[in-house]
Amino acid sequence: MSVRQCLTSLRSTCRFVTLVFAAVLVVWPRLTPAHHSFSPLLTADGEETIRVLEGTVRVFKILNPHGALILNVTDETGATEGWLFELSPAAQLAREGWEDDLFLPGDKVTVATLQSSVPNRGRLRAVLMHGETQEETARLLVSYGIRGDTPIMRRLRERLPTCGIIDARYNRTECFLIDAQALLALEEEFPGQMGYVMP
Amino acid sequence: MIDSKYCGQYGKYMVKVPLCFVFVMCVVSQMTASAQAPSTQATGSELDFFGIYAAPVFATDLGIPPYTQPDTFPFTAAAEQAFNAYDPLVLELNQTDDCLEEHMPGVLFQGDPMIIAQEAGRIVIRYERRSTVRTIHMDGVSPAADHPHTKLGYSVGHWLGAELRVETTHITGGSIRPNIGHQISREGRITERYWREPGDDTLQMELLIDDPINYTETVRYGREWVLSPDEEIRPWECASLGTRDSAPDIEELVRMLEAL
Repeated sequence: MSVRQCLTSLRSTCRFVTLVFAAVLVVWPRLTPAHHSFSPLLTADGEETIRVLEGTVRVFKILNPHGALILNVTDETGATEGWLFELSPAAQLAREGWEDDLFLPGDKVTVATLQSSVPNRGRLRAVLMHGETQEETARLLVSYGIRGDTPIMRRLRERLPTCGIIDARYNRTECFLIDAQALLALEEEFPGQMGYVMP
Repeated sequence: MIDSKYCGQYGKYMVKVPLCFVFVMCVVSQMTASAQAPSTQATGSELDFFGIYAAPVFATDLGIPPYTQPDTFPFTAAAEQAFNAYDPLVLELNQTDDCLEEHMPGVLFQGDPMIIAQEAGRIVIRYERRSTVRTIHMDGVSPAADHPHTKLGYSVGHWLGAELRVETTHITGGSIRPNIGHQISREGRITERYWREPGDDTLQMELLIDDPINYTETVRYGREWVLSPDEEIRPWECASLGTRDSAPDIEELVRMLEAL
């Protein structure tokens, strides 16, 4: 058999394999990613915008169809403005272990949010609840964009103990304990504002 | 020249690999098909169906349970135009009011638990989502043509062996899935096929949408629930966080939330 004949035979076999793969890709049922009703602010690259804001809790309520956390946020100029952060439905949050007194008015927090296309509104990605003093252990709650078996969730699980208040059976949100030393280590390993919860 | 022995051996190998691949894919396809289609034999009792179901635990950050839908939708020309122009912020009322009642078939895609119960001459499905209650009439009587159109429509069910089949008409129409542009008209017909395989706690659903105004052929979706006897239907007390198309009125929201 000549080299040409051999190559021709192999080429036709490769074409056959390619066709089979193409056919499988066409007919295989596709698992559809979910959409939510949230309209995010997109970057020029079409990515969802994640912002980090520091503020003080005004109200936190577990509600249907979305829980609500309202903060007073102080911007770079010193001006204060209100922000609304939405969470999952009350029925789901309650199953997972969230309660209305998880955040109290006056609590100081740092929030990472998926920003909405309208101002002063977003979905709660993560919130760091600072302790009363720098030595007091803080709590880090993670939600949208991190929930489930995601790389960021795995990253946090490997490094931090959990608060023990979230029901892990649902494999969704989680609460981590984070002392000053652990926070410093995370900030060094994942630089940037709340870099440890960023993609 | 090349020794035909080597090419022949390599060629045989190259033929065996795709043939083996095709065989494996055929087996897997058959397994998938048999998992998705109802059994031809009844499981013995329709009562196997009744109970409380929850969405399967989903490992990725999905807002709702996974489902299947067509890769491409067989739009009519007008429906394709409408789909391309669709903007939920403009067209969906739930973008301004969080507490609107659920509609068919949107409620079928939600992630909250549901109870399927048998009552005299009917099946009742209670969804946690917005405390929605659907009645499936099992008396075989179709609604009158002038029956009013409602968000949940009028549902008639019957058993096909171990499969529950529900036909719903007289809906008000709208998005098949909330906030997604695929529409169903008032004239649309919704067919739900539910089945469980013997010994399996998974409730399978195939959803068929027939709507000549929007689609040139039947549109098929699929999803599943898991029998969850320890689960419960929780009350759905709703509070709207206002419109999504403008900045929130924070002071008004604070007042509203503090009053709850």
